Amino acid sequence: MAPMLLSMAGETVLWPLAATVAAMMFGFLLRDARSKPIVSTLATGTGFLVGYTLIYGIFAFPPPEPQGWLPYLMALNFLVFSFDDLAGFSHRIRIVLQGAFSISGSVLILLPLFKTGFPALQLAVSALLWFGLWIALDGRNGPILFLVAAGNAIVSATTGSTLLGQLGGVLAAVLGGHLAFNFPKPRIPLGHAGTAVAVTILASLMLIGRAYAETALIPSLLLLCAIPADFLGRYLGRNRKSLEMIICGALALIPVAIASAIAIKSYLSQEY
Amino acid sequence: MNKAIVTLAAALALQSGIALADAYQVQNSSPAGTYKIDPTHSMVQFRVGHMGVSEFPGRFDAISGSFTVDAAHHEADKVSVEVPIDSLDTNFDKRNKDLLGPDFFNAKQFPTMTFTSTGVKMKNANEGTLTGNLTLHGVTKPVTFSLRHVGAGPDPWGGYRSGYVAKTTIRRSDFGMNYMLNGISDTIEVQINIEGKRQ
Repeated sequence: MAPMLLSMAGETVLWPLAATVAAMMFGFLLRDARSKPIVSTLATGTGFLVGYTLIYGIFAFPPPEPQGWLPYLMALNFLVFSFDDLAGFSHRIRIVLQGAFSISGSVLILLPLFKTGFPALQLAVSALLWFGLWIALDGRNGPILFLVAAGNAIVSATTGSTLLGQLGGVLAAVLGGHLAFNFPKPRIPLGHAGTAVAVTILASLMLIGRAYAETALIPSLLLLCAIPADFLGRYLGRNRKSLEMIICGALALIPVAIASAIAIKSYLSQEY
Repeated sequence: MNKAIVTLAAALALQSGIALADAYQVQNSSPAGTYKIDPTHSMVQFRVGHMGVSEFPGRFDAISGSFTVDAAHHEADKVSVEVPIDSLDTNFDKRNKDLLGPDFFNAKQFPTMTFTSTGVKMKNANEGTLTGNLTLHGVTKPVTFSLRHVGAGPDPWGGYRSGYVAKTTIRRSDFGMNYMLNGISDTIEVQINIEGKRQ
């Protein structure tokens, strides 16, 4: 394999995954069940930050480009929703916070485009999808987040931006590592904070890809069609965790595979 | 017979004269004045290392701006150039899209590249250096170009034109474009060819 590809594979998968797995190992040592989601969230955040640093590595404040907000959005979500995991917000407060964070995250990412006009429709749609994604996957430990993140990495890299595809690949690697620890039953669950961090990264990358790299629309929307698989999996799994996850994964894989195939076919039609 | 030879010799001499007058030649009239850049005879070109095996060219097709030349006091010369980033062309649509996206230029956020001169020093009538501030990818840095004045003079449409070639090498990482430095070289050769029409 070419040295450049090896380097990209290390930055995108190997080192973030290693950091996540190392951090997750601490979760096994903890006896306090309430702290496990915090460790899980830290592992997710650490793994992503390792990949982010190796691939992009800009931590300036305010960030010069939208992807520079990722570490700050992650940190904010970690702080706020870790408190939720420890103390427990009411459902209403959690929904309000998720809505506020979805709107403010969308505004921050689209802010540079405000110079040329107010992208009202784009802002409304992105905040709504961000919020919907979060509500649907909040506190869930199944394979859906991992599959959508992996699909987004493929769709971004092939139809939008290699950089965003790599960052998406980092998220997929981190969530893949997390999934390995939580199959068939959740041992070190993501909790509210973990899903807040993962959904924020995923939604941000999808929005940046669409707004700045013109990532293909149809495959991106197809990825979101994987979300209902969670409800079907829960219904058909009949409270058997392993069966529930397998059904979720199998159902979610269908739209993700179709989206990836469309994106790869489009890429191969004009390969370098 | 002699008359025919004389006529032939005269015809040949006339043709040579006309050919000589028609040959391409640099116009050496004074470049003094204020010029508006003619975008159809001006272009920004660049050359970047690819995978350590080649040097690949690209260009920006659109350019606008102006320059002012004081032939007696070049320190008063001024140059201002603006280039829309989305006029980039590397002869392959997918590569153009990659370059215009967040990986490199991020044209949606940073739609223009500008250069504003801060000083011109001529070491002779035609050669010197042009220093100024280049704003690219939202970052402004001082840059010095080697400058060559090509020529100046009247055009066939009643106007008056002058042209320059400016060359420099920049590091893209200085302008916050750090992605894939192991595959695409950090140093980029830039050449700006400008023709202006005197106002």
